[in-house]
Amino acid sequence: MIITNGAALWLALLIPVVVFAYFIRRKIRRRVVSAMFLWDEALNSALAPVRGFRVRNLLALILALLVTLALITSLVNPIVGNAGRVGDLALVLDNSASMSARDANGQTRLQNARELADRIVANKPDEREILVLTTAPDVEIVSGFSKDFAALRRRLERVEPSNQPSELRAALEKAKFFQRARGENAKVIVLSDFACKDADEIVDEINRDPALAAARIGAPVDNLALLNLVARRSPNGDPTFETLVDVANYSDTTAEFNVELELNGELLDILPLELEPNERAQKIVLNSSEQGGTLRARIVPLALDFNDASPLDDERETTLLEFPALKIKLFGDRDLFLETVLEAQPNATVERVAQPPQTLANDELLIISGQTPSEIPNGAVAIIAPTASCNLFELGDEIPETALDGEPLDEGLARYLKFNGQTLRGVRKVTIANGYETSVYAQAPEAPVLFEMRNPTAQDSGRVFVLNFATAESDIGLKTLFPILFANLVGEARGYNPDETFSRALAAPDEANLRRELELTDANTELATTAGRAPIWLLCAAFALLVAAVEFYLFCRRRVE
Amino acid sequence: MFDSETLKKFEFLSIASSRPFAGQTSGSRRNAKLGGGLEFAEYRDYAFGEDLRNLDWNVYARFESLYIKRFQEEGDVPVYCFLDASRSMGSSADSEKFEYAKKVVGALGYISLARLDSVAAFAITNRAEDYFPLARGKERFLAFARFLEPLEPYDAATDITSAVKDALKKIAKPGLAILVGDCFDPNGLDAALERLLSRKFEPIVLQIYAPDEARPSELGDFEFVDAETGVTRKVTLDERAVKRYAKRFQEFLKATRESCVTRGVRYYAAPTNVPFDSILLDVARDINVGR
Repeated sequence: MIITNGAALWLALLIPVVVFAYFIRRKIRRRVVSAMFLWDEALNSALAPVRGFRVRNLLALILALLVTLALITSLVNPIVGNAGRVGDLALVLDNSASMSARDANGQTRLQNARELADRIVANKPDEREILVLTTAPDVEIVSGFSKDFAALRRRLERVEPSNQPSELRAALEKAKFFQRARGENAKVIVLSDFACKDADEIVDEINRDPALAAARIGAPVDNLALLNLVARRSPNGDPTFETLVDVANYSDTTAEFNVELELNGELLDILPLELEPNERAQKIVLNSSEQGGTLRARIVPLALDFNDASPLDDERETTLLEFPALKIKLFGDRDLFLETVLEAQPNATVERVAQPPQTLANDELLIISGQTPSEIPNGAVAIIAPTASCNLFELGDEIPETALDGEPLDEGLARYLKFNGQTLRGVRKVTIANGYETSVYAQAPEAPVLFEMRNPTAQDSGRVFVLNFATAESDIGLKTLFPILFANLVGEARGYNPDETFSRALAAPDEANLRRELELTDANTELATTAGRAPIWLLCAAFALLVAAVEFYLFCRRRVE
Repeated sequence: MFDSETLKKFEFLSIASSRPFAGQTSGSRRNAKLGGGLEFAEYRDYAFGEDLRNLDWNVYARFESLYIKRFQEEGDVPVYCFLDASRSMGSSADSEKFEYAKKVVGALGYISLARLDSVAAFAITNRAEDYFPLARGKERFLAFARFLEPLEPYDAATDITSAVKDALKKIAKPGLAILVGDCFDPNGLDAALERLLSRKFEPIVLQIYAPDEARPSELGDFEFVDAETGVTRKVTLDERAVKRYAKRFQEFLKATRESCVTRGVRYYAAPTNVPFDSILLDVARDINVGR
């Protein structure tokens, strides 16, 4: 048995006070009455032996002493049994997204876990030290090993719920490390709902390892979750977005609900969905918007009585970047096909220029076709079939006919392009000037065909894209790829990557499943809870109350002797 | 004993008697005797030698028969106050019960003297301990008060029957017999009342008790000492015991009242927390106030 509040032992001084008070009370007051015969008749008295009177008063003393002792024991708050033998504790408190789910008592799981942790701290023996770890977004030591009851409670109060998945495995490993350093009586206690990755393995380990104990927080509850919201630009250069909505129904009933999509606070679309128990579904919303802004998706259950436990995973938000405008300046030989392709680019204007501009604004792209000037201006520039050397590169001999050496990269200028095996004409050998970084997307045996140059040292130097082949003279197959090639070019010049998605995953699927079956042994749970249980003080307080009630009853029943 | 304002109030009161008594001198009440009063009583045949002034000449003129017209004589009523001075009267806090009883008796005496009645008083225990002889006239109130003032409860038990029997030896004429006391007589009042009634007295009972006697306010362990007998009891008073005692006390009051009422005796219960003059108003309620 361990006494958790030794200071309360001073209250034992009350015992002699009670005895003293008893002897004071024991003094019988003398009172003259006018008509004893009325008292005799009223109370049916026959003179009882004085001994009985004393015994009854002694009983009152015993009851008073029992009440006092029970109250003192209650305040001393001893801990008995297994809990008393437990040494220092490493307390792992799960504060991940799933712990924001509400349980039947109306509190969140984190609040319930914090209350249990609070009890463990409040009822700890004086010499026990407790370490507190949290699990989300990363493992964090909230409090190092400490005996300071007040400080521990303050730090527990400051544990905030996170919207991130639980790093329970990492937290457990860290707690075990500290536990091992504290000797064999030290224990790790995990307070979690185990809605996390590798939950089964963690529970298995807790069941096997006597140094580990856990209390599962929260009963299985129904939950609808919006697991992912992903939005991207249409890959064909269309300025609208495609939106992927990933939802799951973690309940044992069929769930009917809507997914409402809002852009900048205005309703954009509503997806009516019906999911079977434990069903997960992905829906794609096409052409959702041309605007940029904040896209928010929210689950709205249709049945009013559907208990969607965790509100945190019912909403997701993603940011859509704006599709920037682009001014294209054409210099060089006139190419109607090229002009038509460029004019077809969304949110782009095409202008022919007689001379290449000295400088280019950020929203401008200069396309040089046929006549290569000696000085290429700073900014975004595309050179199609260069004819002469310039400050960026030196042209060599033309390679009569060639083909790609291997497949082009599926990125940058060459995204979605498959033209290996095509005959290329007008390809010239190129020597890149010093100091430029080059990204080659398509390579012929003797020269790069599609490449990009960038001077990393020049602050205002833009990207220079080079199409080192005669587009008009190459195979018709290449011409069919021509619009895609220029869509890529325009996209790259805008600095926009169509594959780029913007999504904020608020919780992992593991966090959303709040009905997970776990095989946590009772012994573990008991150890976890008895470490913080208040087994004696409450019983003692109840006993004191009971004895006080008995004393009062007996007092009321007393008769004349 | 009383201030002048109180005494002035008492002058408007009178103690009712349900039947006439033969007093010693003329007074303000109908007397048992017929004679020279103002109130017509009866006609009677003239007898030789009677005072001719009493003949009703109008009757003679009509019937030629001689009739004597008789009138109710007005006289005083003897009022006998029996003040219980046993130990039980001094058992309540500061002897409040006995002081209260003395005030009541004093007031009754003053009222009677003011109405030209004669008053006597007895301090009784199990016998008549002290005696104030019949006196008449308001000027005798001072002597009456001097008799009452120094009285203290006697160290004797209550036996009203014996006390009344003893007191009656000193009384020549019947009258109102007002018994003022707590009536804590285990033998009851019946015998005493029967004796008074058989001697043509009109008894009135004023039972005085302290509120704490009706329902004790203190709880706890007590050693009770009977004021009358000195018998002791160790008692633990709790709410339940107090309730039972209070119920028994009310039964006792009720029994005393029934004992009186069944004999046509007027009965008044007077707790000491009720001002004594309001008790007197009760006693004198059926009197012609301001007569």
